[in-house]
Amino acid sequence: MKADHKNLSDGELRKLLNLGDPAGDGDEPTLEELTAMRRTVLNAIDTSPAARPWLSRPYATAAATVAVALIALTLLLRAGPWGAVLQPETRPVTPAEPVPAAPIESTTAVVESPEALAAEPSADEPTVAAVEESQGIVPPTVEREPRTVRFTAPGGTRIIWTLDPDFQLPVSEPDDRARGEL
Amino acid sequence: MQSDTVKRLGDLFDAHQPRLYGLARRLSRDPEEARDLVQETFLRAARRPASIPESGKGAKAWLVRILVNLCRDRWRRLKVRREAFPQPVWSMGGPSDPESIASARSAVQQALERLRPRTRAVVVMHEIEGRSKAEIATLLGMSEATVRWHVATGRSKLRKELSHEG
Repeated sequence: MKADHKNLSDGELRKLLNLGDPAGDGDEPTLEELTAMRRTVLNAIDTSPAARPWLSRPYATAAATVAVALIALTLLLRAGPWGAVLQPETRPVTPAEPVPAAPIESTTAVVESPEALAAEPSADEPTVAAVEESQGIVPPTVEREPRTVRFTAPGGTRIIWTLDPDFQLPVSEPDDRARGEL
Repeated sequence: MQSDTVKRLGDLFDAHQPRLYGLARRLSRDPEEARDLVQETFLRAARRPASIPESGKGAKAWLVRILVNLCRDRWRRLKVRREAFPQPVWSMGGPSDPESIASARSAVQQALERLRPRTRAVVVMHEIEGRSKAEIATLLGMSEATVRWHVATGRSKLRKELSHEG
């Protein structure tokens, strides 16, 4: 008996599908097959590093964060106090190279020898810094390094300024004219 | 750590293998292919144990999706061969007639094979396994509207495939 199934209702279609259910043939895996399959699956468990939970994303993120923090801390400790990072580069005092006798066209810089710049004030004359230190205005400096400024004049003359931090202007008594104005 | 994974996967196998085999059998052509599909599904889980959701429902849905995706991969590979199959021819006698049952099984099998894998999975789960559309949506990770679309499309194609005039 053949039938036209074009007009199967949903219920009839469901009955037909259940009648022809492919899983209804009773050909299910045997206990031995299931045991073998189970063993195969459990033996295939991946124990490679990628499958280990302690290397999963949260752990990796935490480890990376700790590493970055350690690196940042190390850099900060190497840099020292905050002020040290902001200080300009200092160079040791070295004798300036002989400046060629080329004419300086337009600059206001004055070339001086380091010896002259590093000249100490006379011990007899109290300096401004000494006076300020004695009066507690500024704290006594422990160690100062000379700073060097190098630049080239338009004519090609290389100019090196060595700024001596210990250079002090001599304190002199006001002259009579100034005293009279006061 | 590995013993925990072995125990968990073993529990998952014992809990879900029977139903997964039933689904695989309805999504495949023969019992041998169904066994391969189930084993490959659990092998995927064994290779990526960290990917299995913790909850029981989540793990079940995860396994079902793996199985359906495996069926889809096979369907794509075998598409050329399947298209060469002849149209199913069958006759329907009484429900208890073994010949009719065998004939219907063959026709349904071949009609199901002509559905796209996702549509086939939805139709099988809804019409044969009796699952609700909401449950299917959860298991397959799709909206209920999509499930309804697959059901309607599957029914229409099955009617056409099971028709002698199709």
